[in-house]
Amino acid sequence: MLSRWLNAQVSSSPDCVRVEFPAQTVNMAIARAVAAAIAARADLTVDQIEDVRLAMDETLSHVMSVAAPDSSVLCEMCVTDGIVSASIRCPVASPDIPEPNPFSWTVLSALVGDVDVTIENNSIVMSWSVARDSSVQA
Amino acid sequence: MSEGPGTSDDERLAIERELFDVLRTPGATDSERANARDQLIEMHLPLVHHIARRYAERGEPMEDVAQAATIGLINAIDRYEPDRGVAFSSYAVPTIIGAVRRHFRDATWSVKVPRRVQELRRKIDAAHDALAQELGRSPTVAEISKRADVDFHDVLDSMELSRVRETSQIDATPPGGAPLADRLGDVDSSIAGVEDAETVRRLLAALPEDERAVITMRFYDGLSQSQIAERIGVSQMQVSRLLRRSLTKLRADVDGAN
Repeated sequence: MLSRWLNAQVSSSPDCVRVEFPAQTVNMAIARAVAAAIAARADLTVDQIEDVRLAMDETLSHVMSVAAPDSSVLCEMCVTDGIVSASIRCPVASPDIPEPNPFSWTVLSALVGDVDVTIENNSIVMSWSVARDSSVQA
Repeated sequence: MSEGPGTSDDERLAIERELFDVLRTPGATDSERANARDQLIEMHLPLVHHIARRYAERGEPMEDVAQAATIGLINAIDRYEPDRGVAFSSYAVPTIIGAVRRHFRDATWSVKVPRRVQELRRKIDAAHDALAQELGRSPTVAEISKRADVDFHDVLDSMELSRVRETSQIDATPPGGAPLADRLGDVDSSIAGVEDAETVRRLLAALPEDERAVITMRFYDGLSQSQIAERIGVSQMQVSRLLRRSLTKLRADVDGAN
C-alpha cells in the first residue's frame, strides 16, 4: 500500500489527479465533484459514477472524523488500464484511531473494490478502486 | 430485534440466517413469516438510515429519502436468495441505493428551471433510458453525449444539477432564528385607504366652509340629507345640490391630484 502511494506521488503520470484541501466537511462537495468528473472521463457508467461519489463521501466522512486539527486531506485519483483508483490520505491526531463505522464499511465494500485502510506515519490512508465495465468501448 | 452492544457480528449473522430460513420455509405460517420479515427489516433500519443520511444533504426531506431507502430494503429482503452465498448486506446495499436513486430521478424540480436546462435534461434522460435498455447496463457519459448530441461536459453538468433541488419551506425555522414566514412582509390592505384619506383631507380643506360642513356631516357623522337639512335650516333639496356640487369638485380635484 505504501509503495503504491509513493509511486503515485512521484509519478508524473498524466492520468493522476491530486487535490488537497482542509479536512472540513464543507470541502466534501469539491472532492465528490472531482471524483465524479474523473470517473466520467474514465468511461465509468453513470451508475458507477454515482458509486464513486458515494464512496468518496463515505471515505471522507471517516477520514475527517479522525483527522488531526487543522490538517489537510490529500485525495489522489488515477486512471490506469480502465481502473479508477482513489487514495485518500490525512494526518491523524493519534495512530490509535477507531475503525470505520460498520455501516460505512458495508456500504463502501458494496460500492467499490479493493477497500483498504492503513495507518502510515501518523496518517490514515484509505484506498479503493472501480474497474470500467468490460462492455464499454473506451 | 435487539442488537445491543453485546451482540457480535457473528451472532447478528446467525440470527439473520435463521430469519431468512423462516421466510423461505414452505411450512412456516403466514404470521411466522410476517414476524421474521418484520425483524429483518428492523435489524437493517440503521443501515437504511446511514445510506439515507448520505443523500439527505441534496435538499430532499430526510424522511422521504429514508422511506425510499426502506422500500429498497424490503425489496431486498423479499428477493434475497441465501443459497447464492452472497451476504445479505452486500446484496441489500445496491438495492437500497438503487431505490434512493430512483426516488431522486423521479422527483421533479420544485423550482423554476430555465427552459434550456429543462430541455437538456429531457434529452439526456431519454438518451440514458434508451441506452440502458439497449446495452443492458447503465451507459457512460460519453455514450449519452454521443446519443443525445450534447457536449460531454454539459451532460456532466446536467447530472450535477439534477441532484440539487433545494427549496425551503415557508414555515421552516432556521437554527436560532424566527420562521421564514415571520420575516416576510405582507401587503396591508388599509394602506391604500391611508393614501386616499390623506388626499381627501387636503382637498376637503380647500372647499368653502359650508360645503365642507355638509360633507363632514354626511360622510363622517353619517347623517341623512334630511337630518343635515334640519340641522342647518335649509331644504333637503338644497343639501342634495350642495353635496353633489362638492363631490363633483372633489372628484375633479382627486383626478387632478393623481
